[in-house]
Amino acid sequence: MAGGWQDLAKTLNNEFATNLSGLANDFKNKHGNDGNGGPGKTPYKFGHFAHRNPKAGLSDRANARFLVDSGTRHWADDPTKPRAESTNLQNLEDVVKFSLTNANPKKITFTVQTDANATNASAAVTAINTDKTTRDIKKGAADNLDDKIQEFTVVITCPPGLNP
Amino acid sequence: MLESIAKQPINMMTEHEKVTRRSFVSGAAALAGAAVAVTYPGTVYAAGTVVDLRSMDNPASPGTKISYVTPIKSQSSCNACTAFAVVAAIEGTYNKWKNLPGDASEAINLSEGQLFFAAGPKDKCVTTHWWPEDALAYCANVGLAREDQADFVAEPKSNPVLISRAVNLMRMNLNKTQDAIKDWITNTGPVIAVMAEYNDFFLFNVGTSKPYFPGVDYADKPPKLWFVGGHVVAIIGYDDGQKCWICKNSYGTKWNGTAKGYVNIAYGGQPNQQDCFIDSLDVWGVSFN
Repeated sequence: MAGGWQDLAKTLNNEFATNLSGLANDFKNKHGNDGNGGPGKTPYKFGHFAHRNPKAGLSDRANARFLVDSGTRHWADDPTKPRAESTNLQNLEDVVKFSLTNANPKKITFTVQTDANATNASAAVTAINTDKTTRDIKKGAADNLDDKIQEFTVVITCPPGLNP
Repeated sequence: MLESIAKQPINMMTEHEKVTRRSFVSGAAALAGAAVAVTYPGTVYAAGTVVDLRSMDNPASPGTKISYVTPIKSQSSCNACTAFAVVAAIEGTYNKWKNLPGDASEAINLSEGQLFFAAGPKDKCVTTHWWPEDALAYCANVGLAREDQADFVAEPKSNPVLISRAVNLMRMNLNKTQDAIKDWITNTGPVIAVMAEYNDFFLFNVGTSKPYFPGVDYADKPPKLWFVGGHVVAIIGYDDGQKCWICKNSYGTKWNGTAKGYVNIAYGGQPNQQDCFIDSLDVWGVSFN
Protein backbone atom coordinates (compact mmCIF):
# COMPACT_ATOMS: atom_id res chain seq x y z
CA MET A 1 0.00 0.00 0.00
CA ALA A 2 2.74 2.43 0.90
CA GLY A 3 4.31 2.71 -2.57
CA GLY A 4 1.26 4.09 -4.36
CA TRP A 5 0.26 6.18 -1.37
CA GLN A 6 3.70 7.73 -1.18
CA ASP A 7 3.42 8.87 -4.79
CA LEU A 8 0.03 10.32 -4.02
CA ALA A 9 1.33 12.05 -0.89
CA LYS A 10 4.01 13.79 -2.98
CA THR A 11 1.38 15.03 -5.41
CA LEU A 12 -0.89 16.21 -2.63
CA ASN A 13 1.89 17.90 -0.71
CA ASN A 14 2.87 19.78 -3.82
CA GLU A 15 -0.73 20.90 -4.40
CA PHE A 16 -1.13 22.02 -0.79
CA ALA A 17 2.17 23.89 -0.93
CA THR A 18 1.73 25.64 -4.27
CA ASN A 19 -2.01 25.78 -5.02
CA LEU A 20 -3.83 25.85 -1.69
CA SER A 21 -6.59 28.27 -2.68
CA GLY A 22 -7.16 26.47 -5.99
CA LEU A 23 -7.35 23.16 -4.18
CA ALA A 24 -9.86 24.60 -1.72
CA ASN A 25 -12.02 25.99 -4.54
CA ASP A 26 -11.98 22.68 -6.39
CA PHE A 27 -12.93 20.92 -3.17
CA LYS A 28 -15.90 23.20 -2.45
CA ASN A 29 -17.09 22.99 -6.06
CA LYS A 30 -17.11 19.21 -5.81
CA HIS A 31 -18.21 18.65 -2.20
CA GLY A 32 -20.06 21.81 -1.17
CA ASN A 33 -19.10 24.63 1.15
CA ASP A 34 -18.91 22.34 4.18
CA GLY A 35 -17.62 19.24 2.38
CA ASN A 36 -20.82 17.37 3.14
CA GLY A 37 -22.34 17.57 -0.34
CA GLY A 38 -25.55 19.22 -1.46
CA PRO A 39 -27.42 19.67 -4.73
CA GLY A 40 -25.15 18.41 -7.49
CA LYS A 41 -22.31 17.83 -5.06
CA THR A 42 -21.15 14.66 -3.31
CA PRO A 43 -20.03 14.37 0.32
CA TYR A 44 -16.26 14.17 0.63
CA LYS A 45 -14.71 10.73 1.16
CA PHE A 46 -10.96 10.48 1.60
CA GLY A 47 -10.26 7.84 -1.05
CA HIS A 48 -12.49 9.28 -3.72
CA PHE A 49 -10.65 12.40 -4.69
CA ALA A 50 -8.17 10.58 -6.89
CA HIS A 51 -10.80 8.79 -8.95
CA ARG A 52 -10.63 10.01 -12.55
CA ASN A 53 -8.92 13.12 -11.25
CA PRO A 54 -6.03 13.94 -13.60
CA LYS A 55 -4.40 16.06 -10.89
CA ALA A 56 -3.86 12.94 -8.81
CA GLY A 57 -1.55 11.65 -11.54
CA LEU A 58 -2.51 8.02 -11.03
CA SER A 59 -3.20 5.36 -13.63
CA ASP A 60 -6.71 3.88 -13.74
CA ARG A 61 -5.36 0.83 -11.99
CA ALA A 62 -3.65 2.76 -9.22
CA ASN A 63 -6.75 4.91 -8.88
CA ALA A 64 -8.94 1.88 -8.28
CA ARG A 65 -6.49 0.38 -5.82
CA PHE A 66 -6.16 3.60 -3.90
CA LEU A 67 -9.93 3.90 -3.63
CA VAL A 68 -10.41 0.33 -2.48
CA ASP A 69 -7.61 0.74 0.05
CA SER A 70 -9.28 3.78 1.58
CA GLY A 71 -12.32 2.01 3.08
CA THR A 72 -12.97 0.77 6.57
CA ARG A 73 -11.72 -2.71 5.71
CA HIS A 74 -8.27 -1.15 5.78
CA TRP A 75 -8.97 1.52 8.39
CA ALA A 76 -11.23 -0.32 10.84
CA ASP A 77 -10.81 0.55 14.51
CA ASP A 78 -11.48 -3.12 15.21
CA PRO A 79 -10.15 -5.46 12.48
CA THR A 80 -12.84 -7.99 13.38
CA LYS A 81 -15.50 -5.46 12.36
CA PRO A 82 -14.44 -4.38 8.87
CA ARG A 83 -17.81 -2.81 8.03
CA ALA A 84 -17.92 -0.67 11.18
CA GLU A 85 -17.18 3.03 11.02
CA SER A 86 -13.55 4.03 11.44
CA THR A 87 -13.13 6.91 13.87
CA ASN A 88 -9.57 7.31 12.64
CA LEU A 89 -10.66 7.73 9.03
CA GLN A 90 -13.49 10.02 10.10
CA ASN A 91 -10.95 12.15 11.98
CA LEU A 92 -8.82 12.46 8.84
CA GLU A 93 -11.82 13.33 6.66
CA ASP A 94 -12.98 15.97 9.14
CA VAL A 95 -9.55 17.58 9.13
CA VAL A 96 -9.42 17.68 5.33
CA LYS A 97 -12.91 19.20 5.21
CA PHE A 98 -12.01 21.79 7.83
CA SER A 99 -8.81 22.66 6.02
CA LEU A 100 -10.27 23.08 2.55
CA THR A 101 -13.59 24.74 3.43
CA ASN A 102 -12.08 27.29 5.80
CA ALA A 103 -12.01 30.93 4.70
CA ASN A 104 -8.27 30.66 5.19
CA PRO A 105 -7.47 27.16 3.91
CA LYS A 106 -4.96 25.24 5.98
CA LYS A 107 -1.96 23.51 4.51
CA ILE A 108 -1.71 19.75 5.12
CA THR A 109 1.54 17.84 4.77
CA PHE A 110 1.21 14.08 4.31
CA THR A 111 3.81 11.49 5.21
CA VAL A 112 3.29 7.80 4.43
CA GLN A 113 5.13 5.01 6.18
CA THR A 114 4.87 1.22 6.30
CA ASP A 115 4.75 -0.66 9.58
CA ALA A 116 5.47 -4.36 9.29
CA ASN A 117 3.40 -5.02 12.40
CA ALA A 118 0.38 -2.97 11.40
CA THR A 119 -2.82 -4.81 10.56
CA ASN A 120 -4.73 -1.74 9.46
CA ALA A 121 -4.04 1.67 8.03
CA SER A 122 -4.20 4.65 10.37
CA ALA A 123 -3.50 8.37 10.30
CA ALA A 124 -1.93 10.42 13.09
CA VAL A 125 -2.99 14.06 12.73
CA THR A 126 -1.17 16.95 14.37
CA ALA A 127 -2.30 20.56 14.31
CA ILE A 128 0.39 23.23 14.27
CA ASN A 129 -0.95 26.47 15.70
CA THR A 130 -0.02 29.97 14.64
CA ASP A 131 2.06 30.28 17.83
CA LYS A 132 3.92 27.10 16.76
CA THR A 133 2.52 24.97 19.57
CA THR A 134 1.14 21.62 18.47
CA ARG A 135 -1.63 19.28 19.51
CA ASP A 136 -2.86 15.88 18.37
CA ILE A 137 -6.23 15.76 16.63
CA LYS A 138 -8.15 12.57 17.29
CA LYS A 139 -11.82 13.48 17.37
CA GLY A 140 -12.15 15.32 14.08
CA ALA A 141 -14.77 18.07 14.04
CA ALA A 142 -15.32 17.57 17.78
CA ASP A 143 -11.69 18.43 18.49
CA ASN A 144 -12.03 22.21 18.51
CA LEU A 145 -10.74 22.83 15.01
CA ASP A 146 -10.38 26.60 14.89
CA ASP A 147 -8.44 29.44 13.32
CA LYS A 148 -5.63 29.18 15.82
CA ILE A 149 -4.53 26.31 13.63
CA GLN A 150 -2.10 27.28 10.90
CA GLU A 151 -1.49 23.90 9.31
CA PHE A 152 -1.64 20.13 9.84
CA THR A 153 0.69 17.21 9.48
CA VAL A 154 -0.75 13.78 8.73
CA VAL A 155 1.32 10.62 9.13
CA ILE A 156 -0.38 7.67 7.45
CA THR A 157 0.81 4.26 8.56
CA CYS A 158 0.12 1.36 6.21
CA PRO A 159 0.36 -2.38 6.73
CA PRO A 160 2.79 -4.10 4.38
CA GLY A 161 1.81 -6.14 1.37
CA LEU A 162 -0.48 -3.88 -0.60
CA ASN A 163 1.11 -1.66 -3.14
CA PRO A 164 -0.97 -0.14 -5.92
CA MET B 1 -19.64 -24.84 -1.44
CA LEU B 2 -17.02 -22.68 0.12
CA GLU B 3 -17.80 -23.67 3.67
CA SER B 4 -17.36 -27.39 3.02
CA ILE B 5 -14.14 -26.86 1.15
CA ALA B 6 -12.75 -24.81 4.01
CA LYS B 7 -12.78 -28.00 6.08
CA GLN B 8 -10.31 -29.76 3.76
CA PRO B 9 -6.90 -30.67 5.15
CA ILE B 10 -4.54 -27.77 5.56
CA ASN B 11 -1.55 -29.73 4.29
CA MET B 12 -3.21 -29.97 0.91
CA MET B 13 -3.84 -26.26 0.83
CA THR B 14 -0.19 -25.53 1.29
CA GLU B 15 0.78 -27.69 -1.67
CA HIS B 16 -1.83 -26.10 -3.84
CA GLU B 17 -0.69 -22.66 -2.93
CA LYS B 18 2.71 -23.59 -4.29
CA VAL B 19 1.14 -24.73 -7.53
CA THR B 20 -0.95 -21.63 -7.68
CA ARG B 21 1.93 -19.24 -7.22
CA ARG B 22 3.66 -20.73 -10.24
CA SER B 23 0.58 -20.48 -12.36
CA PHE B 24 -0.06 -16.85 -11.48
CA VAL B 25 2.96 -15.67 -13.41
CA SER B 26 2.21 -17.31 -16.72
CA GLY B 27 -1.50 -16.71 -16.33
CA ALA B 28 -1.04 -13.01 -15.79
CA ALA B 29 1.21 -12.83 -18.82
CA ALA B 30 -1.40 -14.60 -20.93
CA LEU B 31 -4.04 -12.18 -19.80
CA ALA B 32 -1.90 -9.20 -20.54
CA GLY B 33 -1.63 -10.38 -24.12
CA ALA B 34 -5.34 -10.98 -24.44
CA ALA B 35 -6.48 -7.73 -22.97
CA VAL B 36 -6.15 -5.63 -26.10
CA ALA B 37 -7.58 -8.02 -28.66
CA VAL B 38 -11.23 -6.99 -28.72
CA THR B 39 -12.99 -4.31 -30.71
CA TYR B 40 -16.59 -3.21 -30.37
CA PRO B 41 -19.13 -2.45 -33.06
CA GLY B 42 -20.27 0.82 -31.51
CA THR B 43 -23.81 -0.29 -30.76
CA VAL B 44 -26.37 2.48 -30.28
CA TYR B 45 -28.63 1.67 -27.37
CA ALA B 46 -32.26 2.74 -27.52
CA ALA B 47 -33.73 4.35 -24.44
CA GLY B 48 -35.42 1.78 -22.28
CA THR B 49 -33.44 -1.18 -23.57
CA VAL B 50 -33.33 -4.03 -21.07
CA VAL B 51 -31.04 -7.01 -21.46
CA ASP B 52 -31.20 -9.65 -18.74
CA LEU B 53 -29.30 -12.91 -19.08
CA ARG B 54 -32.01 -14.51 -16.94
CA SER B 55 -34.50 -13.94 -19.73
CA MET B 56 -33.02 -14.13 -23.22
CA ASP B 57 -34.60 -15.23 -26.47
CA ASN B 58 -33.82 -18.93 -26.82
CA PRO B 59 -32.20 -19.53 -30.22
CA ALA B 60 -33.01 -23.24 -29.96
CA SER B 61 -36.68 -22.66 -29.34
CA PRO B 62 -38.04 -19.51 -30.99
CA GLY B 63 -40.67 -17.71 -28.99
CA THR B 64 -39.35 -18.99 -25.66
CA LYS B 65 -36.96 -17.51 -23.11
CA ILE B 66 -33.90 -19.00 -21.46
CA SER B 67 -31.87 -18.06 -18.38
CA TYR B 68 -28.13 -18.56 -18.60
CA VAL B 69 -27.54 -17.50 -15.01
CA THR B 70 -26.74 -20.09 -12.36
CA PRO B 71 -28.36 -19.96 -8.90
CA ILE B 72 -27.40 -17.35 -6.31
CA LYS B 73 -24.80 -18.54 -3.79
CA SER B 74 -23.56 -17.19 -0.48
CA GLN B 75 -20.00 -16.25 0.42
CA SER B 76 -21.11 -16.36 4.05
CA SER B 77 -18.77 -14.42 6.32
CA CYS B 78 -15.72 -15.07 4.11
CA ASN B 79 -14.34 -12.19 2.02
CA ALA B 80 -14.51 -14.33 -1.10
CA CYS B 81 -16.68 -12.11 -3.30
CA THR B 82 -14.11 -12.15 -6.09
CA ALA B 83 -14.26 -15.93 -6.40
CA PHE B 84 -18.06 -15.91 -6.47
CA ALA B 85 -18.30 -13.15 -9.06
CA VAL B 86 -15.67 -14.71 -11.31
CA VAL B 87 -17.31 -18.14 -11.14
CA ALA B 88 -20.74 -16.61 -11.77
CA ALA B 89 -19.41 -14.91 -14.90
CA ILE B 90 -17.68 -18.06 -16.14
CA GLU B 91 -20.75 -20.21 -15.54
CA GLY B 92 -23.09 -17.74 -17.22
CA THR B 93 -20.76 -17.31 -20.19
CA TYR B 94 -20.37 -21.06 -20.60
CA ASN B 95 -24.15 -21.56 -20.50
CA LYS B 96 -24.71 -18.82 -23.08
CA TRP B 97 -22.01 -20.29 -25.30
CA LYS B 98 -23.59 -23.77 -25.09
CA ASN B 99 -27.15 -22.40 -24.89
CA LEU B 100 -27.78 -24.25 -21.63
CA PRO B 101 -30.22 -23.04 -19.00
CA GLY B 102 -28.44 -22.11 -15.79
CA ASP B 103 -30.57 -24.38 -13.67
CA ALA B 104 -30.38 -27.45 -15.92
CA SER B 105 -28.63 -30.56 -14.70
CA GLU B 106 -26.07 -30.31 -17.50
CA ALA B 107 -25.29 -26.65 -16.77
CA ILE B 108 -21.99 -26.14 -15.03
CA ASN B 109 -21.61 -25.51 -11.32
CA LEU B 110 -17.99 -24.61 -10.70
CA SER B 111 -16.07 -24.55 -7.46
CA GLU B 112 -15.69 -21.15 -5.83
CA GLY B 113 -13.87 -22.96 -3.05
CA GLN B 114 -11.20 -24.26 -5.37
CA LEU B 115 -10.68 -20.85 -6.90
CA PHE B 116 -10.52 -19.04 -3.59
CA PHE B 117 -8.47 -21.45 -1.52
CA ALA B 118 -6.11 -22.67 -4.24
CA ALA B 119 -5.55 -19.41 -6.05
CA GLY B 120 -6.79 -16.81 -3.62
CA PRO B 121 -5.17 -14.30 -1.31
CA LYS B 122 -2.81 -15.47 1.40
CA ASP B 123 -4.98 -14.01 4.14
CA LYS B 124 -7.88 -16.22 3.02
CA CYS B 125 -11.28 -15.24 4.41
CA VAL B 126 -10.09 -12.14 6.24
CA THR B 127 -8.39 -10.66 3.22
CA THR B 128 -9.27 -7.05 2.46
CA HIS B 129 -9.50 -7.39 -1.30
CA TRP B 130 -8.55 -9.81 -4.08
CA TRP B 131 -8.45 -8.45 -7.62
CA PRO B 132 -10.26 -10.37 -10.38
CA GLU B 133 -7.22 -10.36 -12.65
CA ASP B 134 -5.43 -12.78 -10.35
CA ALA B 135 -8.42 -15.11 -10.17
CA LEU B 136 -8.84 -15.01 -13.94
CA ALA B 137 -5.20 -15.92 -14.49
CA TYR B 138 -5.81 -19.12 -12.54
CA CYS B 139 -8.99 -19.85 -14.49
CA ALA B 140 -7.12 -19.51 -17.78
CA ASN B 141 -4.16 -21.53 -16.61
CA VAL B 142 -5.32 -24.29 -14.29
CA GLY B 143 -9.08 -24.28 -14.79
CA LEU B 144 -11.92 -24.99 -12.41
CA ALA B 145 -13.46 -28.22 -11.20
CA ARG B 146 -17.17 -28.85 -11.23
CA GLU B 147 -18.42 -28.55 -7.70
CA ASP B 148 -19.93 -32.04 -7.58
CA GLN B 149 -16.68 -33.52 -8.81
CA ALA B 150 -14.21 -32.03 -6.39
CA ASP B 151 -13.63 -33.41 -2.97
CA PHE B 152 -10.84 -31.06 -2.96
CA VAL B 153 -9.63 -28.17 -4.41
CA ALA B 154 -6.35 -28.41 -5.91
CA GLU B 155 -6.31 -28.99 -9.58
CA PRO B 156 -9.45 -30.48 -11.00
CA LYS B 157 -9.29 -34.25 -11.17
CA SER B 158 -10.50 -34.38 -14.73
CA ASN B 159 -11.78 -32.12 -17.49
CA PRO B 160 -11.22 -28.77 -15.85
CA VAL B 161 -13.17 -25.89 -17.29
CA LEU B 162 -10.67 -23.38 -18.65
CA ILE B 163 -11.58 -20.01 -20.02
CA SER B 164 -10.00 -19.11 -23.35
CA ARG B 165 -9.35 -15.55 -22.39
CA ALA B 166 -10.22 -12.75 -20.02
CA VAL B 167 -10.72 -9.28 -21.42
CA ASN B 168 -10.42 -6.04 -19.52
CA LEU B 169 -13.41 -3.91 -20.53
CA MET B 170 -12.16 -0.61 -19.15
CA ARG B 171 -12.06 2.00 -21.91
CA MET B 172 -10.81 5.55 -22.15
CA ASN B 173 -13.93 7.06 -20.67
CA LEU B 174 -17.00 6.00 -18.74
CA ASN B 175 -19.42 6.06 -21.69
CA LYS B 176 -17.19 3.82 -23.79
CA THR B 177 -16.69 1.45 -20.86
CA GLN B 178 -20.43 1.27 -20.30
CA ASP B 179 -20.98 0.50 -23.99
CA ALA B 180 -18.28 -2.18 -23.85
CA ILE B 181 -20.00 -3.76 -20.85
CA LYS B 182 -23.38 -3.75 -22.61
CA ASP B 183 -21.89 -5.27 -25.74
CA TRP B 184 -20.19 -7.98 -23.74
CA ILE B 185 -23.33 -8.92 -21.83
CA THR B 186 -25.46 -8.95 -24.97
CA ASN B 187 -23.06 -10.96 -27.06
CA THR B 188 -20.95 -13.06 -24.70
CA GLY B 189 -22.07 -13.29 -21.08
CA PRO B 190 -21.93 -11.79 -17.59
CA VAL B 191 -19.26 -9.29 -16.64
CA ILE B 192 -17.14 -9.15 -13.47
CA ALA B 193 -17.08 -5.72 -11.85
CA VAL B 194 -15.34 -4.28 -8.79
CA MET B 195 -17.48 -1.72 -6.98
CA ALA B 196 -17.01 0.59 -4.03
CA GLU B 197 -18.99 -0.88 -1.16
CA TYR B 198 -20.58 1.42 1.43
CA ASN B 199 -22.03 0.41 4.76
CA ASP B 200 -25.61 0.66 3.47
CA PHE B 201 -25.13 -1.89 0.66
CA PHE B 202 -25.01 -4.95 2.91
CA LEU B 203 -28.33 -3.87 4.46
CA PHE B 204 -30.08 -2.91 1.20
CA ASN B 205 -33.54 -4.47 1.05
CA VAL B 206 -35.72 -2.86 -1.61
CA GLY B 207 -35.64 -5.63 -4.20
CA THR B 208 -35.63 -4.29 -7.73
CA SER B 209 -38.10 -1.46 -7.22
CA LYS B 210 -35.33 1.10 -7.39
CA PRO B 211 -31.65 0.88 -8.16
CA TYR B 212 -29.07 0.94 -5.42
CA PHE B 213 -26.67 3.83 -5.19
CA PRO B 214 -24.76 4.84 -2.06
CA GLY B 215 -27.05 6.70 0.32
CA VAL B 216 -30.28 5.70 -1.47
CA ASP B 217 -33.29 5.99 0.80
CA TYR B 218 -34.91 2.77 2.00
CA ALA B 219 -36.47 1.31 5.13
CA ASP B 220 -33.95 0.69 7.90
CA LYS B 221 -31.15 2.39 6.03
CA PRO B 222 -28.28 3.37 8.32
CA PRO B 223 -28.30 7.02 9.38
CA LYS B 224 -24.72 7.61 8.32
CA LEU B 225 -22.85 6.61 5.20
CA TRP B 226 -19.23 5.53 5.05
CA PHE B 227 -17.03 3.70 2.61
CA VAL B 228 -16.16 0.08 3.41
CA GLY B 229 -13.88 -0.98 0.54
CA GLY B 230 -14.02 -3.05 -2.61
CA HIS B 231 -16.70 -5.59 -3.46
CA VAL B 232 -17.06 -7.70 -6.60
CA VAL B 233 -20.28 -8.72 -8.35
CA ALA B 234 -21.27 -10.26 -11.68
CA ILE B 235 -23.26 -7.95 -13.95
CA ILE B 236 -25.83 -10.09 -15.75
CA GLY B 237 -27.84 -7.41 -17.52
CA TYR B 238 -28.72 -3.75 -17.77
CA ASP B 239 -31.78 -1.53 -17.79
CA ASP B 240 -31.35 1.71 -19.73
CA GLY B 241 -34.76 2.94 -18.54
CA GLN B 242 -33.77 2.80 -14.88
CA LYS B 243 -30.13 3.47 -15.77
CA CYS B 244 -28.83 0.52 -13.81
CA TRP B 245 -26.84 -2.68 -14.05
CA ILE B 246 -28.61 -5.90 -13.10
CA CYS B 247 -26.21 -7.70 -10.79
CA LYS B 248 -25.83 -11.13 -9.28
CA ASN B 249 -24.50 -10.75 -5.75
CA SER B 250 -23.07 -13.41 -3.44
CA TYR B 251 -24.89 -12.67 -0.18
CA GLY B 252 -27.37 -15.57 -0.59
CA THR B 253 -31.00 -15.60 -1.69
CA LYS B 254 -32.30 -13.89 1.46
CA TRP B 255 -30.46 -10.66 0.69
CA ASN B 256 -32.31 -7.73 -0.94
CA GLY B 257 -35.89 -8.77 -0.33
CA THR B 258 -37.94 -9.91 -3.29
CA ALA B 259 -34.92 -9.70 -5.60
CA LYS B 260 -33.59 -12.76 -3.74
CA GLY B 261 -29.91 -12.02 -3.98
CA TYR B 262 -29.91 -9.93 -7.17
CA VAL B 263 -29.61 -6.15 -7.14
CA ASN B 264 -29.96 -3.30 -9.60
CA ILE B 265 -27.02 -0.94 -9.20
CA ALA B 266 -27.16 2.55 -10.71
CA TYR B 267 -24.89 3.35 -13.64
CA GLY B 268 -21.89 5.37 -12.58
CA GLY B 269 -21.48 9.00 -13.47
CA GLN B 270 -25.08 10.10 -12.96
CA PRO B 271 -25.53 13.63 -11.60
CA ASN B 272 -26.77 14.29 -8.06
CA GLN B 273 -25.93 10.81 -6.98
CA GLN B 274 -23.22 9.16 -4.93
CA ASP B 275 -21.29 6.71 -7.03
CA CYS B 276 -20.15 3.19 -6.29
CA PHE B 277 -17.97 3.33 -9.43
CA ILE B 278 -19.14 -0.12 -10.53
CA ASP B 279 -18.35 0.67 -14.14
CA SER B 280 -15.13 2.59 -13.68
CA LEU B 281 -12.86 0.61 -11.37
CA ASP B 282 -12.07 -2.82 -12.81
CA VAL B 283 -14.32 -4.65 -15.28
CA TRP B 284 -13.69 -8.00 -16.97
CA GLY B 285 -15.39 -10.38 -19.36
CA VAL B 286 -14.43 -13.99 -20.08
CA SER B 287 -14.90 -16.11 -23.16
CA PHE B 288 -14.49 -19.67 -24.36
CA ASN B 289 -13.58 -19.06 -27.95
